Amino acid sequence: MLLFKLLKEVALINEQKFLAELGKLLTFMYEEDRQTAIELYAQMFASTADEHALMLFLASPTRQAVQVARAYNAKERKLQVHAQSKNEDGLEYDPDEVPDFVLAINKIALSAAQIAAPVAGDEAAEREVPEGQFSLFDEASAEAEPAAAEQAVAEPVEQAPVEVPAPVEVTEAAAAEEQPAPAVEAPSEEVVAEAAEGTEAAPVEEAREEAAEAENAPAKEAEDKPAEADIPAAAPEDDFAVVIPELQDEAAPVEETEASATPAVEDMPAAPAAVEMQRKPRIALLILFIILAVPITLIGVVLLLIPTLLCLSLALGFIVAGVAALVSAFAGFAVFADILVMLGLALAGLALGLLFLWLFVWFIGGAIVGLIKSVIALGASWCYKEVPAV
Amino acid sequence: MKKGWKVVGIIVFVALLLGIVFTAVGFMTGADTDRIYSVLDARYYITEYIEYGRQVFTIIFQEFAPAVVVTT
Repeated sequence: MLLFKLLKEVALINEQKFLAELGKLLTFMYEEDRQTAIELYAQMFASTADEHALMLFLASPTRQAVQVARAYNAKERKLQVHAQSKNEDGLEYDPDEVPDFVLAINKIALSAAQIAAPVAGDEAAEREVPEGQFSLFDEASAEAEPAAAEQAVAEPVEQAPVEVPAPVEVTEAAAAEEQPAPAVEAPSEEVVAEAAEGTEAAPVEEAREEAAEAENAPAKEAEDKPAEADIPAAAPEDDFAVVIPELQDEAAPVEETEASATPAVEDMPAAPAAVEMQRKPRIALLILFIILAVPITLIGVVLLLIPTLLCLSLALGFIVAGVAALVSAFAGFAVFADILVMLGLALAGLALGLLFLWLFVWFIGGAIVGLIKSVIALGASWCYKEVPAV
Repeated sequence: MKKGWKVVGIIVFVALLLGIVFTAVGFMTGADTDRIYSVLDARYYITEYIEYGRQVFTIIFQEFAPAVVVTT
């Protein structure tokens, strides 16, 4: 009982540490996206029945940060942030505009829920599958192994998580041999079983995802590989895994893996070092552009000045006529019907005068200035190139 | 600029609508164009200006395109 309470407290502390560490690692995201991601993970913890199994499944904040970073496109999010209509709690999005990183976290949560469910039940009954019974994991491991074989040439680093499930299915002893950090699990069979439960689905799914990603975006994979390589291969490397006091002596290697995992934060793909760019003119092209653009622009401005001045003259004419009609309406007419007609004509004249005056302003401030600005912008795009600053 | 177009459009539309309504009501209540013209002519010498413009036009056309002006 005491041990259970201790485990519960440790799990709570681990959860808080996990979320805090994850929050630090997700600083490359926009603040509201980061809060959303943290809240989704907090919900994941709140809804799980077995935090220990969830912790084992999530492996480490670094691993989760890498997964979120892969699904996060900062440029697209910048455009979506203002257009996106969010509900009051900030967690729900329009069905069409759910960001990729939310989908990725939901996928992780779904996998975690699938794993936590059997753990909450009778673990022994879940572990021992009869030989004749159909097992998804056999297929999964069978599917994952070709994927691992394909990736083995290009990505030897990622091979380890794929290979883990196969021995788990065979025997528990083999699982104990295959676990990269056996120190935590070795003394207790229960812990081994939980670790196996926690890791057996995750690597298979990751193997599928990574195989798909390797086909779809090899360049992105190449970018992410350093960060992934720094993460220890199997789930139990987590620095937030539950540490039983008796096992602390043997858990020392976990500290080493933490030390090796920490640099992965710096290698994360979402926080690349900013390269300063410098605009450098192409002199010959610039001179040629000026020689051609100046007369063409002048011709365009002169052509635009004709309707501009016409609008101005019409505006002045209508306004003068309207004012004259307005003045005469109150000065020279004795019949009320005539006054009404003159007022109507004055209003119409003034309205047309205002319209032409606005057209004149639009020609000057919009068309002519816009023409000059667009020519300058065209020259800037054609005659300048961006090179990295020395 | 778009907001400017919107504001100007609304003002012009309302003023034109009022002008048309005023003119229509004026003619319906007995306005007479000859009477209006005579008052305006007495005030602004419209006939004289029209005559002056016609003469200038005739001189210009006689100078540059005499065949057109013969009919007038």
